[in-house]
Amino acid sequence: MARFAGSGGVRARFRETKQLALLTAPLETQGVVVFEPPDRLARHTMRPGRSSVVVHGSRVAIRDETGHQILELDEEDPARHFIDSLAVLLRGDAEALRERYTVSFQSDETGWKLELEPRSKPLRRMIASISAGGRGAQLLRMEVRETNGDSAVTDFFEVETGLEFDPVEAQRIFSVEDRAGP
Amino acid sequence: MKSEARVRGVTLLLLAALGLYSASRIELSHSITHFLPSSQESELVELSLELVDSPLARRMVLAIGGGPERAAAAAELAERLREHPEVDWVEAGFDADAMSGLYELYFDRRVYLASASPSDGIPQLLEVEELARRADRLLARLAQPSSTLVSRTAPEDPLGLFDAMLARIRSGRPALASSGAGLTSRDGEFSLVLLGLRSSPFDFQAQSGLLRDIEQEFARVDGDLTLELSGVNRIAVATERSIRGDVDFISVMAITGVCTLFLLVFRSLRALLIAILPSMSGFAAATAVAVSFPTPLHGITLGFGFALIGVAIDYPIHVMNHHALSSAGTPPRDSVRSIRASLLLSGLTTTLSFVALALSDLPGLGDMGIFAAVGVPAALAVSVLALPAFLGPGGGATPLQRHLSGRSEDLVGWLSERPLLAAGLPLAFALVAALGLPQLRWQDDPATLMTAEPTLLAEDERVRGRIVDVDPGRFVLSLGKDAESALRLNDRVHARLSDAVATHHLEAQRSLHSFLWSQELQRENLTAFRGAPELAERIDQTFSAGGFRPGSFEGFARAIASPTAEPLRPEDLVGSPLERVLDSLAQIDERWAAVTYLRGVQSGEGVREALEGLEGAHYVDQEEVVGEIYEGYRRSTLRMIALGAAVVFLVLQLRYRNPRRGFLAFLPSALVALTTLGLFGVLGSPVNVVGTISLVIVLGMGVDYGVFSVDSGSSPARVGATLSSLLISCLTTLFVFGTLALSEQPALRSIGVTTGTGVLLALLLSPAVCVLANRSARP
Repeated sequence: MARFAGSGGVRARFRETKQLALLTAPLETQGVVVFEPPDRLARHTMRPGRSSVVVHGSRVAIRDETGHQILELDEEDPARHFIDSLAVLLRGDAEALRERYTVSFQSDETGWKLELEPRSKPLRRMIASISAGGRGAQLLRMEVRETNGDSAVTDFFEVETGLEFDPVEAQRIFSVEDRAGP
Repeated sequence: MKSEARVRGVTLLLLAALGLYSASRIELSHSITHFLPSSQESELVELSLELVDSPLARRMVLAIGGGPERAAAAAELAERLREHPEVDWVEAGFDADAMSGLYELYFDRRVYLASASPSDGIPQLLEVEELARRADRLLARLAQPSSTLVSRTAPEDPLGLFDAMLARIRSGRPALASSGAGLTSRDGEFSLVLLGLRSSPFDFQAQSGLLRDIEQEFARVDGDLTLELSGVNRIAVATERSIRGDVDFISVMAITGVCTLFLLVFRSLRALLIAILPSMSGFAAATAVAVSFPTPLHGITLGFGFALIGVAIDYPIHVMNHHALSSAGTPPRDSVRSIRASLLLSGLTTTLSFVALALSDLPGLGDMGIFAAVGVPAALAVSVLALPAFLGPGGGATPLQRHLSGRSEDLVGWLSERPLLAAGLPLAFALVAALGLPQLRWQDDPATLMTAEPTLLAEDERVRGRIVDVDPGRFVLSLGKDAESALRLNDRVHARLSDAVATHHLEAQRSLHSFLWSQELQRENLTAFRGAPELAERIDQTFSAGGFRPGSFEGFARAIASPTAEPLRPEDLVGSPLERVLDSLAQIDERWAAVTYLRGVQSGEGVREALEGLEGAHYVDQEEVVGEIYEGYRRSTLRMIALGAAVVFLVLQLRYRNPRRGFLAFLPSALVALTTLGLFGVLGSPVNVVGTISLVIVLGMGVDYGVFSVDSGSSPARVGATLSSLLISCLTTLFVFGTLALSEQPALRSIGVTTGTGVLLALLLSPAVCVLANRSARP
């Protein structure tokens, strides 16, 4: 976690595959995630449709083809956990992680693996566990398993760490204002 | 001497008894409805004005800006203020419990709240193309990180009806509602706290205490933060504070001025106490009569009535000045006898002009007239019967009294030798009236009667802009005999106003419709779903084609076949996170009103047109309503002034049996009133309702000036005593009423300017009347 905490800004491409009971086939999405410590995270999806989720502190902006929505979500809100658990990991906030989850950590020469089980009752009703794996300061895979059998596996690649964003670039990436597209 | 002492005792005892009687029975009303026109429209106006003190007015918005700690500071401030005795409710955000409350309220009722126009909306919703679009949208939402929540509700709500309901709720709330971290402004830069007020926003004591406590509690909150406030109460407190400041300052000025005047002229403050005795007695008598009626006395009637009875201060001044200037040792009752005819005629004509006011069809104005018409004769009776008992023997004039009397004699003598000049003065007055009256502008906009600090207004505007708030003074009332009929009409009003928004007659509406529909409309939704052929199959087929597993949405079909909840009723919202929205559904007397607040009304006519044909739906612009009431009062007052003037003219003609003398006695009232208005016209100074009512005072005093001037006869000594009495009366009036012209508040300033100008003009005209009347009296 200490490595994450010192790894600065992160940009990575992602491919997420969701196995949902509602769907006949896995739902695959691809895009880019960008993180700027301490609390800015943008998840821009390029395929199949274009959408964005931008988190800035407690503020979450969601934009897709149907419109634009800004939410203020507090620490206790289950929706906040779904959305910014990745940000908590990337900023290496061990304390926040332990507050929210029971944490178990394993590592060997091939990499590390983190197993998280939610502590809060409302979250436990929905999330069975979250596992994350990577190498060094790079997060390479994250899997969320839900209590109803649904799951989501996200693979990260072309991971860049130690990035610094100039104000113009940061504005473009993390803007929560309504605009035409991601 | 013993009998005079008895008169003094009886007078003071009577005054004390009247005061005690009034104090024991007085019940003051402050209801604005008492001042409404007694026309058929009055019910709507009454309903509209009752909403001046509506729940929306009983609300404050606190905007906290600064660093990221503002959200925590807002939560802390909200918690501290929650316990405040003047705070009815506090809203600082939706917590997880509140969201769960919304789910419980609306999820099981989603099929009732799908379309505001179910007969065509639901068939459209269930067309294959639309279903395919909804399937794509659901897929997109499942692709988002928050899909865990969506995937749990989607089987029972594939069309996203609950989400649409939440979006409606969000749009219907004044601020950006969150699901936990508090309310924030549109730009996210401010954390907001909404407060409900327990007392009226116009309750100075309660609201000034609350505002002070808010500032103190905010000072205790950590962080380098700013606090900005919005609320009717804040403006009302600032305005009242300004009025009180003005009144304190003006009272000191007036009391100092009158005391100095009486000390200079009479060399005695006792003279001042004696001079105010008749007016106080008149006020006590009028109050005692008013409190004997079963209906409560209105505060405005009491205030304006007191001012009208103030004209009676002229009577003791005449008595005291004439008595002082009489021969040494003249008994006071002889002095009174020498001017009794003038006193009685003055009192009678003034009373008649107030009686005319009492005939107004506006109840508030009528009450003021009756009040004054009772008080003036009472004051006159005290002046004639009791006042002599408080005076010593005559002949004790001070040097200044003698000087003033002498200069008045000289002035009249000088003017007598220049009859053309004497005749030219009234003509000059008439010329000013003729030139100015066509240019006169009436001002009925209620906003111009009060001023608030521009910085406060700007702050209020800023805060309201941050939450995209509505204009609390503009709304649509949907009236019904019960809550359901009001809601039924409100459903239709919402649809019409949505069209008005689309056609830019209106920027936005905040309607109860965002949260609650009529039972009828809700049942129509269910019927429309049930009437859709092969609904379950169609949804299943279309969603399956979109990649969803067949049979996933049977829960939705079950919810339509056998809903697990009844349609939402107003009482279901009680105790819920949305309880406050019920503030917009009010029972007023026997009727129910659903209130839709508006923002950015481009044209009132446009909104009225949008509501055309909806019986019971009324667009209300409170400023417009109050403006119309003011205009009604102004017009009625002018009519009654004209009627009073005609009656006074007739009485003067009957008394003098000489058209010229009767006309001259009439001049200082009617001509002065017209010249005052003409002068305002020439100067471009608009006249409002308060200024118009103040003209009644000018008329009442002016007729006294005319009668005394005409009655002064050809004796130089009597002329001197009369004109010097008029000068003292005029100065007293200027100190009492004229100093109000120094006020920062337009309403008070208007009383001061109108009364001050009027009595000064009446005084200027009096020597000419004196001269012209004496010339005409000669055989």
